[in-house]
Amino acid sequence: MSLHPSTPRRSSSLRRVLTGTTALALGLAVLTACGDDDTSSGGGAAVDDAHVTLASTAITSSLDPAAALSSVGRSYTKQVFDQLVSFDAKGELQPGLAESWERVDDTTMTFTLREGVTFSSGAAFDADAVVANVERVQSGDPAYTSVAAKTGTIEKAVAVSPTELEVVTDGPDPILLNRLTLLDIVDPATFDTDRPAGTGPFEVTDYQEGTSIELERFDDSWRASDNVEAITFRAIPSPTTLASALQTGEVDVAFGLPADVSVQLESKGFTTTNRSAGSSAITSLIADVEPKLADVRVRQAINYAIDREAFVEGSLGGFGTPNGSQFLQEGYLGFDPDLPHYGYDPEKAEELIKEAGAEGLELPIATTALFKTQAEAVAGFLNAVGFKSEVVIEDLSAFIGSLLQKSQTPLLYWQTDYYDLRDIAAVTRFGPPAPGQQVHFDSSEYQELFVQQGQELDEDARADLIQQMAKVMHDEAGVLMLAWPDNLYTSAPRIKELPLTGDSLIRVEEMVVTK
Amino acid sequence: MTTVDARPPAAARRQGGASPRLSRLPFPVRLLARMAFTLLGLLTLLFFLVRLKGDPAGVLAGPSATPDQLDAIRAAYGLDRPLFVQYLEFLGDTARLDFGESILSGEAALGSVLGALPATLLLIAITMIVSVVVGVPAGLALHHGPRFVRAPLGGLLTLAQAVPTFVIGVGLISLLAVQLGLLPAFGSGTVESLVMPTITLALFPIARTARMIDAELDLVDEQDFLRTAAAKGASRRRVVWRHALPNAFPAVTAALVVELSYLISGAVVVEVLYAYDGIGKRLVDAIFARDYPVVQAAVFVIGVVVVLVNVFGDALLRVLDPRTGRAAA
Repeated sequence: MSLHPSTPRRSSSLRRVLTGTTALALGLAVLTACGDDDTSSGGGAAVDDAHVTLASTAITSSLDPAAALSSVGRSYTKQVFDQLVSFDAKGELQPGLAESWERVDDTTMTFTLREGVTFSSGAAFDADAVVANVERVQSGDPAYTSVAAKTGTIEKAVAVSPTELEVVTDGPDPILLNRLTLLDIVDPATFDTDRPAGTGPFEVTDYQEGTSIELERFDDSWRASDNVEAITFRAIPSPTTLASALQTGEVDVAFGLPADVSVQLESKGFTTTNRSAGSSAITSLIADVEPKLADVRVRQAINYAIDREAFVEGSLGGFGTPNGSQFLQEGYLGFDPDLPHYGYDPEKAEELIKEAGAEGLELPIATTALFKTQAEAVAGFLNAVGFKSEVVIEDLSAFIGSLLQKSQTPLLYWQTDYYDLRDIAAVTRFGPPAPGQQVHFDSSEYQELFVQQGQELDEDARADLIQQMAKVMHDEAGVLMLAWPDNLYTSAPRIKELPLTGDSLIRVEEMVVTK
Repeated sequence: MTTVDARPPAAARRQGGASPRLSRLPFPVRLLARMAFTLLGLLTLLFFLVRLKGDPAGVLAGPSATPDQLDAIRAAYGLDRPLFVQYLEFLGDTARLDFGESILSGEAALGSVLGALPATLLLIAITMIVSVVVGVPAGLALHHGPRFVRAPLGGLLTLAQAVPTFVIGVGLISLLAVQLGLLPAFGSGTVESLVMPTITLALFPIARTARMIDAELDLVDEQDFLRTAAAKGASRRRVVWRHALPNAFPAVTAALVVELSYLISGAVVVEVLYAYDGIGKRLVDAIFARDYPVVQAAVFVIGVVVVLVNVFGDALLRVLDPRTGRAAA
């Protein structure tokens, strides 16, 4: 599920009520500000040593990067820590703390590490530091569950010399490098301190739990630049207030604003940077709850019932791409440009429903408050072709339970993310189920292919397997595909360039700021 | 908690066998016992309520975790044990003021909550002061002012009571921060950042105080001692300020004490709206993350504050209106 910058980690209907993010309130906030139209665009010259304020509805829950794998967490860790490899702006793997790497055999890779790198604590970076970090996230500490899950194939890391590292996996792992982009390297001497130190271009100078983080430039970082001297991360839980703070100039870049507010702000000189969120908006169809969903005709009818263009326009504010074909988007390994899309064909849907004897079938959709509008749109389309659907809002923690283990509701609206690993391997929910886990798509063929792609080291062969998976999923209509949503960053006129990484995080050290 | 009116002995008897025995104990002991019972009830209710639905393991592990990992997290935090065992341990820990560590941040839960308490208390204290300083004169104006003042003032007070807090807050931000640029749109820790939260919170108690003063003065107006004072030649100002107002105060004070308890919950909305780093915002964050230790610590601290406020209110009422203490004793 998406826990992306555009969809902050903790949110729910109560919070929305509390923070007054009704359409009325948001409209009021932006419209009252539309009176003065004096937004002089930042045509000034770029300045060095800028101080920028980035705000979202939440900030990291921990300064420790191994415990901060949420998107808001990573927007902070990206500035302070480095990984062995990382994704560049196009999503290609690029050297990080490792300058080069080589596969030795099916389960072993060696890395040559960057020399002369120091942590902000003053300690030198070397292979031992990487080993200590690998061992720490695999220590079984529940705080590191999330990162341990993503890097779980790593059996051990061995320091061959200060600049040579060997990583051994428990089996062939084609995406070991992708996994390593999530392993932030911390100075082991600062593991259990208040200020874990990294090698990135900024270091933490102040932290108010749940409220703000102050960062200052770490001049000795190997990727320091002159552009930005200091960063403030602010949590502003109310999107209404967040939008206002952008307009008062207290905030330079906001993420987590509703799409319609971003559009309104654009007319006032603010810039919206949208980037594919590396995520797929879908609805799971669970035959375990509603046996009729085992009938492929019913699942296809559901897929034909949706006008995806209208869905993107109406419930994603236009920020997204309609998708009726596959999880992955163009640019990801295994994307199949020739796989057909389910189009909007309500007559065909009604025909299939009749054939399957599923007229009036009750298909309630459970989701969290975060996706209420989207789920309601889906319910509307389903009702229009003769199903009976309504939206059931679950508290986020309860919904994650429904999603991961057992749902009582036949349909679940959510977003399956792959932005962090940039790979189909992140879409685990449709792979082989764990013991006791409810199946979302009962296809042994799909599950076998999922296991095979996870061990296939040849890239072309693996791309082929992923395409086969997509075809099975599509032909069987195993899930309701809806759209590929975008991530939105709204920035003030003085921000001239807002560079993003391939996994949609801001590269603050390369931001260009004008006066 | 607040004994606004003297409690008749029958009511005390209705509370069961403990009360008569309790009533023989010295006042401070009775007070402590009452506090302990109130907090125990509150924490028990809370313990089971937050566990009705939802699971911190899911929030902590994220949606891509496996069921095995969820189980490991539950085991690590003791969430896999029978609820009653968890409850007993919780009571034991609470008695030692040990609320454990935040599941999310790993910080001590009570320390985190106490760190945010002063900001909330400051906001509430200033709100109370503003409520009295503005509300009492407004009440007098409503009662004794000329007609052309009373009518619009009455309308304004109704408006202040009727408009929801967050609408007032959003309106203030739009006007004072975005349009006029006078104040920061959000934040805490500076004098400027207190202004809008205070106005937002104070409008309702100002209106209530003014209405109470007006209503109480209506009652007092009929009393003989006012006519006597006037007959003895006291000026109108002296009649109002020296004789009428002090007799209106006990009821207004009692209402304000109740209001204070409501303000603490009202502060939750205001703190979230203005990103004001107080205990309310911490509580909301913790509730959404199912961070039980922080939720429990926050509710405990808020409970203690409310109980103390009520005790203080009782004491204040005994001073303002000696009849209260005598009747209750």
